[in-house]
Amino acid sequence: MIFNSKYLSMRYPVSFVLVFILYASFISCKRNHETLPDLNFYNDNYEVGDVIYSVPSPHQISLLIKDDCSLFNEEIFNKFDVRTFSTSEKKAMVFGALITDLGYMSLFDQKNLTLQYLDKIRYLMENSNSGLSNLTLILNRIENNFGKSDSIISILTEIHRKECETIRTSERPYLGSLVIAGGWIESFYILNNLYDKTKNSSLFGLLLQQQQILNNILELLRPYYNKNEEYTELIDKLVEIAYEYEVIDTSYKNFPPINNDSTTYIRCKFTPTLTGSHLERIYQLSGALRKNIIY
Amino acid sequence: MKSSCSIKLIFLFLCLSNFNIFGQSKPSLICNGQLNGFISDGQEYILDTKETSKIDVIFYSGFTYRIKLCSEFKNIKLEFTLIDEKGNIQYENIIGSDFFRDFKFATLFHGKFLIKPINVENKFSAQILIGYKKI
Repeated sequence: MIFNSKYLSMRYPVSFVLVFILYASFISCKRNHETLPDLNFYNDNYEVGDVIYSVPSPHQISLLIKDDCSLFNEEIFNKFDVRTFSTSEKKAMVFGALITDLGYMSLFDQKNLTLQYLDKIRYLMENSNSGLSNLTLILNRIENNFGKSDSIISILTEIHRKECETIRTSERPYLGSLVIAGGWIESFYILNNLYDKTKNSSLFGLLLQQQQILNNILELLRPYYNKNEEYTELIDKLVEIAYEYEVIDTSYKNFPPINNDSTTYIRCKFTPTLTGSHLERIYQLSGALRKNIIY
Repeated sequence: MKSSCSIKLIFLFLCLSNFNIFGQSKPSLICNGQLNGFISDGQEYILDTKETSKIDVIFYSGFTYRIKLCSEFKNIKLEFTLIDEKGNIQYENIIGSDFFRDFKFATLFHGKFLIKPINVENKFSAQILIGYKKI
C-alpha cells in the first residue's frame, strides 16, 4: 500500500519521496555504524589502505606436503562438536579450517574421515545462512569424486569462493578475512605437526616461508584490532608467532626473468634461514593457536 | 509540472539507492569460471578506482600461476607490472580489458602487482583472479 505509485504521485509526491530518502539515509548510516568495525577501513576486497592483500590457498600447502613427505597423520584430527561454535566469527574461522582439512584428507584418500568432516561443513553452512542453495548437490559431488583429489580441491575452492562471496555481500563482509585466517591456521598447524614428526628439509623450508603469509594475514586482520574481542585475541596470538619469525635472515639474488609466449619464469631467489629452537617454539604456538581459536 | 518533478525525484532516489544509501555498490563479477584448468586461490580481487591498484601477492615455487584480469570497460589500457619485494621489475606489459598471463617462480615470491590505468579519466572496475596448478 505504501509503495503504491498512484498514491505516491497523486497525494504527497515531493514531500513523501524526500522524507523517504532522508529516512533511508539515516537507517543506512545507523546500520553501517553498528555492524562495521571501522568505516575508514571498510572493504570487501581484502584491501587495507591502498593495497589489496592476497593469501595463497591453504590447499597449496597440502599439495606441497604430499609431494615433499607424503605423510598423513590422522592424530591431527580431533573429534569435536561443531554445534558448540556460537559466534559468527568462530564459525567463519572453523569453516576455513574445515575446508583446509578436507583438502588435506582428500589428497590422501581418507574417505571415512572426509565423510565425517563433510557432515560438520554441512551443519555449519546450514546454520550460517550460507548462500549455497544447492549445498547437498555440491557435497554429493565431493562424495562422488573420492580418489580424484584435483576435482575435490576444485569443488572445495568453489565452496570457499561462494561462501566468501556470500559474506562479501552480507552485512558483515569483514568475516571473509576470518575464513582465510582459519584456513591458514589449520594448514600451518598441519605443516608444523608433520615437520615435527619427520624433520623433512622441504617442510622446513615451507615452514620458513610461512612468515610472509602470516604477515599478509596480519595485514588483513589489522584494521579490526580492538574492535572485537575475538579478532583481538586472534591477532595477539598471531603476532606472538610473528615475533618468533623476526629472527629469520633472508638472502636475495636477482636474476632476469625468462619470458615465453604465455609464461614468465621469475628467477629471483629469496632464501630464508632460521635455527631449529625457534621452530620448536613456533610449533608450540601454532598448536596453542589452533586449540584456543579453532577447536 | 508536479508530476514531472516527482518522476525526477523518484529517478534520483533510485540512482542513490543503487549506490550508497542501502550499502556499497558491488562491481559485477565478470571473470567467474575463466581460469581454464587452474584452481582458484579462493579469493577475488576487485579494482574499482582510477588510481594505480596494488595487489600484494605471495607465490610458491612448484606451481604455475595464472593471473586473469577482466573488465567490462572494453577500451581501457592498463600498465600491468609485477615487482618483487626489493622493488625490482619482474614483468611489465600494457594490457587491455581481457588478459591472462602464467607465471612460475624459482623460490617463494613476495611482491606486488601494480595496475595503472593509462587512458582512464573516471573510475573503472576490473576483476582479477589468481589460479594455480601443480607443476
